[in-house]
Amino acid sequence: MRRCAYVQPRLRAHMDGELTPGERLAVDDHLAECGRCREQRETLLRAVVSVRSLPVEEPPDHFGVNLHVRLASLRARKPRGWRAWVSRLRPALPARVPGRLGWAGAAAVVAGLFLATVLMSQKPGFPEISRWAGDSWVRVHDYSCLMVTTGIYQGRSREFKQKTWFARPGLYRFETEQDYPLVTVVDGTSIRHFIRGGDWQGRGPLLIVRPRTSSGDALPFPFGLTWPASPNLTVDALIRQISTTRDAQVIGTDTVLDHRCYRVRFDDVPPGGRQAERCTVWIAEDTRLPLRVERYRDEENHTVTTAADLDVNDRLQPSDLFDLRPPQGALVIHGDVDPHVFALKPSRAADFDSDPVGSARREIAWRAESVPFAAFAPQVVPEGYRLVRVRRSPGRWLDAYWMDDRRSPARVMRLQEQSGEVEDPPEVRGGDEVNLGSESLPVAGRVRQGRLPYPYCYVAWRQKDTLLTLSTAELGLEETLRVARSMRWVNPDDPRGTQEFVGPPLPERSSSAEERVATGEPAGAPRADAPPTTSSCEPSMVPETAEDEPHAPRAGGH
Amino acid sequence: MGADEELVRRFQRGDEQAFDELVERHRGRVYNLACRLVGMPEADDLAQEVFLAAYRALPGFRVESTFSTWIYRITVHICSHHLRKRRLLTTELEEYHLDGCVDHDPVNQVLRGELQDRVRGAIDALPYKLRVVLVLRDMQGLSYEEIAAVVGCPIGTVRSRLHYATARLAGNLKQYVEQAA
Repeated sequence: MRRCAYVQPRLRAHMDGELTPGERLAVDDHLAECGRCREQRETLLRAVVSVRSLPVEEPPDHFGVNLHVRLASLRARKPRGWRAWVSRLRPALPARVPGRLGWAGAAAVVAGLFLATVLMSQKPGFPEISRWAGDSWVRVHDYSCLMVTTGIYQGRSREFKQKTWFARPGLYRFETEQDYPLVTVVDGTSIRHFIRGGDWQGRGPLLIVRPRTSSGDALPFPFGLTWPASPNLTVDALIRQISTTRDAQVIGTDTVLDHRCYRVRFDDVPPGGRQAERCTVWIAEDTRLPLRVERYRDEENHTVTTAADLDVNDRLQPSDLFDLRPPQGALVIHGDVDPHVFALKPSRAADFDSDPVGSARREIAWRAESVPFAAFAPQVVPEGYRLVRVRRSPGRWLDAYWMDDRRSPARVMRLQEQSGEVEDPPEVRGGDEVNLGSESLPVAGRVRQGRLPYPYCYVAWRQKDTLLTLSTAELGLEETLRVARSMRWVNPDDPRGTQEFVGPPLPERSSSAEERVATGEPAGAPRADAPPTTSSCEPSMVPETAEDEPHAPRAGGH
Repeated sequence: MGADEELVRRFQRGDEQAFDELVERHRGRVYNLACRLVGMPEADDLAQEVFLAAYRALPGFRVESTFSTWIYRITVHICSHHLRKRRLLTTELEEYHLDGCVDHDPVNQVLRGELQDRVRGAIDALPYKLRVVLVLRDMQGLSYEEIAAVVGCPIGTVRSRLHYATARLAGNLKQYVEQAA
């Protein structure tokens, strides 16, 4: 009889019937005689039974949909075309037409296939497509694509490219080299721009940290480039728009990036916009995600954005994709700063540093004639701040930046001026009302503060026919309001403006808390002495050029 | 020719729908295997990874083994890679939180019972190579020869790994199994 040491390693295989006949006989003989090995076999058997009694786990409900979305991304990369179409059709066709059927039989086969194709290609209506798009989007947990936007903006031909990444819940990364290498990362509280080649008076590269104050709709993902009449458009916003818009039509099918797509068209005022535009969206039949958006406002303003190199739910994204840390020696700047302000390196006059009030007044006056509203400049600038830059978009907006870079991070104050007909900026919506004038000459404003990613303030108000928005970083509400109250009209004919002040009396340095009163004056009511308004353009979402062309004061750069 | 092999050939001729049918036929088993090899929370994603890898590689698949063996091999490889990254390969039972990958839904807990949770924990505590052969044998029902094809080792190795896996499992579960018996 075999010994226990021979038998015990074979007990499992004995149970499974995987022993040779000779081995099985030997084990059987041993077990008949050895109680200890029989007990061991029982123990093993109970363990095996306990494993086999575990319930079968079913894949979760979302498994199939998620896999479908990810497979569609892979399928998009496969070579297609008529050859692939023919090869797909081939299995359905007989290898050769049977001789006795002849041509009539062949024609019948072709007709049958055609009929089957027609019957199988019943087009879904807009409600179904809209619902599919929504269902598909909620199952996307990460996403990356290259966005390519081409079109006409303000009558000029443009093209933009941007690589974007997205991960729920609300992490974004954008990379572009359109005007210069720029990386932007957006998280729950901040928008960070890293300008690799940027410098400020020998200090750089630059990392700009802006509060994420406005809604996600203002973030340029992934179709959010280039639109003069509305905020940037995210997939979230687009899907919401598709689900709520009325009178949308499915106008046919088309192929985008080898994906068969439904084309959906509707006329609508985009989220946050003021003017209706015609929107055509290509929604992929397989992934049910938008792949292309065409926005048509008029002959001089229309763009098409297409998502290329699309990866959906691909867990291979680098873990540090959304972790933008400043490299050694980088200058960190806090403030609501458009990256172009520092990246495009404007020339600065000598008195920008020594006279931040006077130089700003002069620079604003120089640009005041090209905007259709009264321009203003502050009489007070906080200590240590120097003028960085003044910009304008002819006919549309004007802004100015001051910075205190004596410490790190540097802090930026920004003044933005637009037509008074424009709605309050989203940064102050839901904020407190504040009187920026006096009791006898009230000026209604709205102020909003935040604490993350650092303490910041926004205050917006209307003077004459102008909407002014002042934003500060780590300056405090009182000091911010002191600057706002010092704002005075700039007469383009008299840049020094010593006798042309029209605004309320210059405030004294005092707390503003007791002055927070609601005013009866309707917001935006123009004064009798206001210059005539000729335009109601909102800030553009297009990167400016070196010639100070339009740029997005609120959005995240490109 | 089996149904899987026919679907493979259809896919290789350009019929994309054939792959969807292959997914439909095997997703349950692949998910289950991933569940037992890496735990339920991650099985979902990894099972999807398996099919994505299969989609990429299937055009070059020569049908020298069965499709199921091939897809199991991919699953074992991807789960191994995943665990290696997480450094869980050598986790021992005493270091392991027995409820670490167990469904915390109280209803499920009652239904499945404490013993099942212990069994899952004990399987998860096995070294990866032993766990693979045990799961393939006792939960997927593969023969020793099929396991050898999936794992890429001789049948004798499968036999000895299975012996050690069962013995370790029985040792870890002895107290609970005897109580339940």
